[in-house]
Amino acid sequence: MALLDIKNLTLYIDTGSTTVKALEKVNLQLNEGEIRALVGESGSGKSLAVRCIIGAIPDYWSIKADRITYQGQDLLNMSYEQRRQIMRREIAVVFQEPTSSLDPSVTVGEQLEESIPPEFIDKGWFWQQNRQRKKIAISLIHRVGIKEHEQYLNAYPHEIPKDISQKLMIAMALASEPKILIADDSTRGMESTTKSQILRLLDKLNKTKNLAILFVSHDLLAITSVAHTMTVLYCGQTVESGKVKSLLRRPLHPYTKALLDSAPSFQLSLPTKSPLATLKGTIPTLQHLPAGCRLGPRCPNARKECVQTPVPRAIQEHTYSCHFPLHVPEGIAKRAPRVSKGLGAND
Amino acid sequence: MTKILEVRNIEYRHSSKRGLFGKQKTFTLGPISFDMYSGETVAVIGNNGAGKSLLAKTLVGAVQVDKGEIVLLSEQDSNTDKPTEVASDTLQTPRRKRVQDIRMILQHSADSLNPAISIGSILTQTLKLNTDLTETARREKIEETLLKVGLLHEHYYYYRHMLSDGQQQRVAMARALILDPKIIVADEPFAALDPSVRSQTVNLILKLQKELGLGFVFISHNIGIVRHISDRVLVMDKGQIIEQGITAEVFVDPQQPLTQKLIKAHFDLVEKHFAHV
Repeated sequence: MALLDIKNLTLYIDTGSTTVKALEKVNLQLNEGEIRALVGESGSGKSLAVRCIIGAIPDYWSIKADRITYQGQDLLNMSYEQRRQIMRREIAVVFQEPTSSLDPSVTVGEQLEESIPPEFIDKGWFWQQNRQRKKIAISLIHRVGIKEHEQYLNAYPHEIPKDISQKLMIAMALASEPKILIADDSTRGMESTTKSQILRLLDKLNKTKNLAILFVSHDLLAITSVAHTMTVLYCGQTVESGKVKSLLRRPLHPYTKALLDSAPSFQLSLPTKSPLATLKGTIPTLQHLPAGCRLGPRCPNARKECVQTPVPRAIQEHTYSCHFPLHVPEGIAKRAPRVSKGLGAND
Repeated sequence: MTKILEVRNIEYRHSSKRGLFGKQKTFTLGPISFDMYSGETVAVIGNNGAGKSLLAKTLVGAVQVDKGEIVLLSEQDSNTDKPTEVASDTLQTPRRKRVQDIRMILQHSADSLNPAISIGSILTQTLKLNTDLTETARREKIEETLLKVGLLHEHYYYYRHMLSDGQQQRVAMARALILDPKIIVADEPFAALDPSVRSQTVNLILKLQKELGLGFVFISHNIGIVRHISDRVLVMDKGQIIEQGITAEVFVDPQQPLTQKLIKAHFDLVEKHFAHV
């Protein structure tokens, strides 16, 4: 059974005059011990999906979903307390921009100690408890690959380099020994050495602790080196999902192909200084979403049918939502089994 | 290819002190020397805090250097033996020419555009401060530049929030290009962009470079793009250039341990990618 299972998640955002579907029927599954990459450009709704999972939702957003379950427990219909418990102990999130999500007025060490659940501390006098907390904090910080704990535990966030604060954020997330780690754009703007350190750390945690990771990013190089499966989001719609291997070998959706083509490192035969393949235009804003398949206006293969939202279809474990998938003859594309639509899908 | 820029032994020292009895920390940039030729792309790579952004700032004149000089060579004279110095820091000759000929694109193009005034006004300000063009000539120049970077006449009246990331990047580019510079310096121009917009920007830069023969200096973490678009690469560490050379050669045979590490880290990821395929 999937650890985290999201089916047909639709997120409505009230913009005052109208309501927009910021996410439309997003499907996402995270199995035990799996690293799944959630890929998409900014504005594709990656971070929105993460916020739906953790329940950090303001009043003017509303969610409709067939299911969002964690280990079979329904996250949508549980009490606030229960949900909080799960978020505290089982699912940990590393947010974007470590420098802005750390408290600037408190030392990093204190923040790290605060994130250690009280159950991990034996009963004792307060000084004994403090000592235990400190010990756990130091072991956590060593585990994420920072050796100079004295130097960093007493520092304030602005005094620490960005990559170290990223690792500290991971350490904080690991404090409660979660089952799922959601890493929201953890490698953004890092140089290649630091990036591969963070990736190696995530990979190690996955292998040794059997930690399931939802790796949210648009850095394809990072994703393909660490993830097992990936889900591609475009503009709030899931366009393609499956094993990294099969997506790389044979992307079925034009958007996935465009994403892969945009990284010059992936094309060995490309002469230097030659123009890169790219889609025209940019991702539309939430106020101006096109009807049907949202890639439509930018898609090189768009036809009349594309104003209808495509039904997700699957070839083995490779799901795609496209009327005219690449590499698949049209007859077979139509015949491929539909992914069950479920209740509440026809609105 | 003609030489357009000569950087000779520039040095810059910055000291900061924390608290009354804190230890004084000094960061020294340089001495740095390198040359640039017309139509060439130079990439600057290195770890965080290596002084890459500071080097960019000294090139455009946002930071005054303590020692050494940055000499811009005018094209006609560069073939003669004695280059004419158009502007240099030590002589304190009008820096204006240099500032106009070397223009900068900042990392977050969105933050560097004033949200309260229209794109047209942003570009007009640049022209007003730097040229003696008349109102109509300014207007013509702006429209011409907007077209050059792939925007439309209408964008003159747009405000920042009405543009997408890629378009904002184009406006930043237009602001740099509007004074017909010889060199553009960009600090992480691609870091904040999405893959598809990033490819568009790369294509735009390549196109403009081909058309206008611009020299382009850029700082980047993205080794893949550095390899793709740069002719020469400078590797910086602790305020010094530790290695420089033709990109293809440096990538095949890096000399310094830091360069080797940066390049290896990148190619390890690429290799893992191809292991899937």
